[in-house]
Amino acid sequence: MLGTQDMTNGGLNPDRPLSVLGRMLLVRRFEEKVLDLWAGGAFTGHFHVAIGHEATAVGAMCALSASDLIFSNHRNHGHVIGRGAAPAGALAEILGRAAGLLGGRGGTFHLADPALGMPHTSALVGASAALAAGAAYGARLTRRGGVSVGFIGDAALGEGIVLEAMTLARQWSLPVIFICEDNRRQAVSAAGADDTDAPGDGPPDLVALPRALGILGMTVDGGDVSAVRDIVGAAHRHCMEGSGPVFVEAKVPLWPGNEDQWPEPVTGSTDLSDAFAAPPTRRDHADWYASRDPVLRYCRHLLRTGDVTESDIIDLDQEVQTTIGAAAAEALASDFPPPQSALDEIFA
Amino acid sequence: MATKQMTLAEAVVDAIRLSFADDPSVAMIWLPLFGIGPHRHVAEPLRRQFADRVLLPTTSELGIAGIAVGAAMAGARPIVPFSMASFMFRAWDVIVQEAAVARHMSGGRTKVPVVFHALQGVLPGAGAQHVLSPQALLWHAPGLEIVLPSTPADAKGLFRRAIQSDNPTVVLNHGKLLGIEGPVDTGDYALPFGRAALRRKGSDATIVALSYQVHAALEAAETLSLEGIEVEIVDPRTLVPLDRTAILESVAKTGRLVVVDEGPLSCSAASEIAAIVAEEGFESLVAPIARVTRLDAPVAHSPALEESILPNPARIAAAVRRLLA
Repeated sequence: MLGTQDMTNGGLNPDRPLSVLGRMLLVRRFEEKVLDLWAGGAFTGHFHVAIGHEATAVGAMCALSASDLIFSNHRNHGHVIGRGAAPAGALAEILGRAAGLLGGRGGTFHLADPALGMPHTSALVGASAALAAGAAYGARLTRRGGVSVGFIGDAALGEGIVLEAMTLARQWSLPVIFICEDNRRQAVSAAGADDTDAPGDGPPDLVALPRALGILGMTVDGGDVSAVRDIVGAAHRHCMEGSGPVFVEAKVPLWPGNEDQWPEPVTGSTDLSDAFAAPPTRRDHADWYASRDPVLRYCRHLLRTGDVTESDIIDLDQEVQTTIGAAAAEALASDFPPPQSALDEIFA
Repeated sequence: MATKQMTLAEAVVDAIRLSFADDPSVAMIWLPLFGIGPHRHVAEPLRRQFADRVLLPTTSELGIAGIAVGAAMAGARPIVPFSMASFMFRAWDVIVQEAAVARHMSGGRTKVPVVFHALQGVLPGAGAQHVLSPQALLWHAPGLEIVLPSTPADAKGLFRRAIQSDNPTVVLNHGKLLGIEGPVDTGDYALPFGRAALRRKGSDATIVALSYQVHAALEAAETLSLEGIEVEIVDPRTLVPLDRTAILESVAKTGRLVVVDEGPLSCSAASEIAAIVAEEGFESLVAPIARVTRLDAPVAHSPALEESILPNPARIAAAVRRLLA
């Protein structure tokens, strides 16, 4: 496997703003690299990126413990990198290489890192809710302890498995947090491919559904990393006290590049100097730069509070870009698995 | 070795009891293990004895299966009885797309030691939605172990092994076999997967039969024996892994093969076994291979219609006679 890992959320220090920002930037630059690699034909097939989801992913990881188990979904890169997986191993996995986190068998849809408490990523909508609820039970039974987290999207609330999992989790008081990243974008919209009218059709507050099932439901601004950290932290304590489950609806800004079925790099490479002064209002997607991009938002917040300087941010970003550049080079130079290994690891 | 006469249902319960006692990570989600027939009470003591590891669910097969798979990924060894195999279909997505693939998808890093149990096969008057034999459909999902016991002793040892296995395992017991009795070792034992049992020796034809159809084949063999035809009966006991060697060796000896299963004919377990022998044992064959299965029809409620589409001893015997004609 490529790269090195740190068991404590990969060295993420929730109390150091630059550490949190660094992790958010790592997710952003990772995703921009994924878009580049796809455009350059380095991998094939559909994929999803977590641009716009950085604050939810990293905020949640700030509140979770190393022993917690996490189940992501098709839009998983932010969770995996946010958790601290090695970018080189993650990119190698997306490129289908033997040195990938899963030996090249999972790819972008199933990216996970079992060594970091992410045993399995299902790309089937809503499965993560049931798997996380089950892991919460398994961890309780085996006295492993901790909390399990299932990340779902807003469209997953249309799936029976999510409602069944929430009902059973409530019935058995399982220590599980369902984090719903509500970007108002059905991954595959009911109205048909590329129909941008579909977002916004859902109920205004998804949290009404878990509440109707008797589950504590909370809503948070999913573009605010500190707010996400606080609410997931509160949910974590609630679960650890034996009062779980909890449902967190994180209202995540829909990145304009995610409006179509295939992600498009419509906002280009993130320019952090947009956080230093008011970005120009006359370009496309002006509101993204001005107020919606969670990375720029956090930069502005830290500059306002005086926690960091502009040059801190520029230096940090340089470091992150160097890391991602090296990770991509390492992944691209690594080998594909031998064809005859296709039949390996089907059974124990 | 102390043995005791037990029904197959009692033998299964014995295996689960031993597993609970042996391993604190064993848990059970409490759906009716033996359906709602006369054997339903046999499982009850488990629920009382291991109450702290028995979860009482709502009727939510999909959610239950998903939770069981997640629990297995976190180190538990959950048992999920679906009652009738028909109800498994509500959970199909999780069984074939999560449990079966997780190990491979993680490059061998994540294991899913879950056991799914279901009653397969036709029960009188049950109609089309309580009678399915899903073995071939499951066989089409690489990554699942598939167990089809035919005797109480096997049912115990194979179930015990299923719980010990680090792979997702589906145990299918036939509803009509729950009450059959046989000698069962009262101790703790597990039977290996992938080892067929030779139920009868013979030299004229091989019958490979699964689950309840082993008993139908044995009955057919008695009739045929009176006519001077001696059949050999191979009971694979597990479809995945499959004891190809035992099947091919028997066919090498007899030169004729009848495969019997209760799933509908097309793409059935019988079809797969026939294909394996056609590919790997063709030179041994002196006659075409015959399949005796349920016909390709939903199961009707009317006893007259139900009977007309099922394998039975007479149909098995007739198939053997055709091969010898």
